Amino acid sequence: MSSHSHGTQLARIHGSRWLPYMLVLPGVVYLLVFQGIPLLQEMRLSVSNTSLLNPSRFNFIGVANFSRLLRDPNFFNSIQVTAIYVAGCVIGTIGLGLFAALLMDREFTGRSFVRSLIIIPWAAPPVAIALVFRWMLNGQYGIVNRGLEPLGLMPAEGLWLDNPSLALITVLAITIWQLFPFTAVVILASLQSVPKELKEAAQIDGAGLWAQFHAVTWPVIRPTVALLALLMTIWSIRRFELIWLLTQGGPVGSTNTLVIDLYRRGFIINKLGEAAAVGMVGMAVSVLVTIAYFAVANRATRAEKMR
Amino acid sequence: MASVILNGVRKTFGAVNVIPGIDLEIESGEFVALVGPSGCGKSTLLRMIAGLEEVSGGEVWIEGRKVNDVSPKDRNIAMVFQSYALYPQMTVAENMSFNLRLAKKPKAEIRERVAEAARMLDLEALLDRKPGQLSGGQRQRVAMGRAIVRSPKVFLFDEPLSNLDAKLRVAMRAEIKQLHQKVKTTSVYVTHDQIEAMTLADRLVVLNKGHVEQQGSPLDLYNRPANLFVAGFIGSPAMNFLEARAARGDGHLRAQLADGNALELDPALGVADGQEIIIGLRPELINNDAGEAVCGEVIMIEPMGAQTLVYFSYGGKTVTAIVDGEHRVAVGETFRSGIERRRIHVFDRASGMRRDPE
Repeated sequence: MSSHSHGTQLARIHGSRWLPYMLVLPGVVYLLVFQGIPLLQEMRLSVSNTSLLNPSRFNFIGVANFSRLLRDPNFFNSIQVTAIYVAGCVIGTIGLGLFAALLMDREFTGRSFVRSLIIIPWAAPPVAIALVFRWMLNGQYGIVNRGLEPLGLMPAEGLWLDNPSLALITVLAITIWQLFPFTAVVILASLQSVPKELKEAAQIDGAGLWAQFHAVTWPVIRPTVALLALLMTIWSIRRFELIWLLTQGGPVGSTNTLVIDLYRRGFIINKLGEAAAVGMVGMAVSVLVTIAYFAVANRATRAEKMR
Repeated sequence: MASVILNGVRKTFGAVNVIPGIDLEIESGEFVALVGPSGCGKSTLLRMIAGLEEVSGGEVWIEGRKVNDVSPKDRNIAMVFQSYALYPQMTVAENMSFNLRLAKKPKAEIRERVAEAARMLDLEALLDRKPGQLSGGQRQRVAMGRAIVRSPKVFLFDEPLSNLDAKLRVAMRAEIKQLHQKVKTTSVYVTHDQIEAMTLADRLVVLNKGHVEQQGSPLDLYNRPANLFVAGFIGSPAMNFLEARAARGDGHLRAQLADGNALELDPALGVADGQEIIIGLRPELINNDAGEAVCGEVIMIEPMGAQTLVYFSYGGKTVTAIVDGEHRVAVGETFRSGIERRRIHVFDRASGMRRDPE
């Protein structure tokens, strides 16, 4: 009797049209509390002239923060720097990651050793990486210049991170060095699902390495690479600690990405309202990128279903 | 002229000697099946002919050219894989023409050759579809189409029908046979299914543990298996084996079985008095009332419609016989049958080799 009523109760819950909502409720609550509220607060800040010196004071000033940004050449500079940095990160990490993954996919002795070794940069904390690279790139006693000097390849005055024309590319190189193990390992995992017989069929069909990659490998790993591109874009837009610890956005704003700019405005010159406005712009860009990704991904899935 | 020649071909994986050394000649236009249990090295051998696997020793010749160091694409071969191995993002036509496009053949020629292959394999209506939209049998036909479009010197088949259900397998078997009769290209066909091998091939090569147990026409192997391995492998249900001792006297030769029964054998057989032998009886040949009597208590029956499998005890073993489906047999009864004397296979127990009349 009791088991019978228990059964019908279960069936009722199971058939209830509220069940799906009940299941997503914890996730929604979490997002609202930890993402939604801060986001609303940031929106509110972005239309105020609140200062870090008195953060609880709210004074509505409309879109003044945004219109000031539009007239601020520094802001446009940081958008440009961000665009270069993000594009460089995506292309660099995916290009290098793909190359490394293809190499590691081949049979060679010590492969599993190399596979675990390559993870180290990704596993290391950005603080440690920033300190190590600043030391290695030090103008006077850094090992990099020691090595390059005899070859005559040392940059002017031996400066890398303090050189306005080299700082961004140096930061980019360090970022790519840290991140490509991640893309490499993810792509390597996806390479495991490339059917071996298909590669052999392509070999017999006369496909060289490039044609094999194009006809067999790429169609399998493409969705993974697309997802990595999205992740790398968003992560690069919001990367802070590595850049801050390497250059603090300098010299002369040459590595001043949106997030660094936000931090400077909010916590160095204390203009929380302006910083929040920069944050809103950054978020808008991230959202646009994400929407674009899902539009492309959906179209690809539909095409997949068609065949 | 021989189309494919294997000359002492060896394969080792690390310390494991998979193929200790195989010699094989395949005539031009011949259909040869490499058959054997899993792990016998048949696929490895095929992959060495294809160039997908390196040869550890010996020589592989295709069309009068030594190809040990020639890459698969330059060996003038085409291969049909068990998983079909079609490019999922390409249409049927693109799949079939991939090789020709890579070889930069003129567009008109490609179109013509694809159309011809499609006509031959009844694929014309499917040319614009992608593999995902095809059934298993259609995919298999596309895989064969991709092979014939190239008009290679040698077709290599690696268990091409294993992924199909039983009914489709029979249908595709017939298609492969017809295709070979049309194009007459040298074919090497790997399978673990002896029926597939028997029905398709001009010649069977039975492999076991990396060496050739016997080769010959399907009926040769069926009628005169050279040893116990081939005898047990060819034929379904498998041959019954009974341990026996040869007894000669008065110009007669008898096989004394474990349960006291005896079978009269051909006295001309090369068997000595007292020799330990194995008697081989094919289930489908134990149904002849004339001949040597084979009788025993029925243990189990398996009716299959047209025929019935009868399991009865004889010679200390459970022996299988195939009788007509109309024949009524009941468990516990005595099954009375017989076999023609010339149909009894005799093997030396120690060496496992066949004994023939001398």
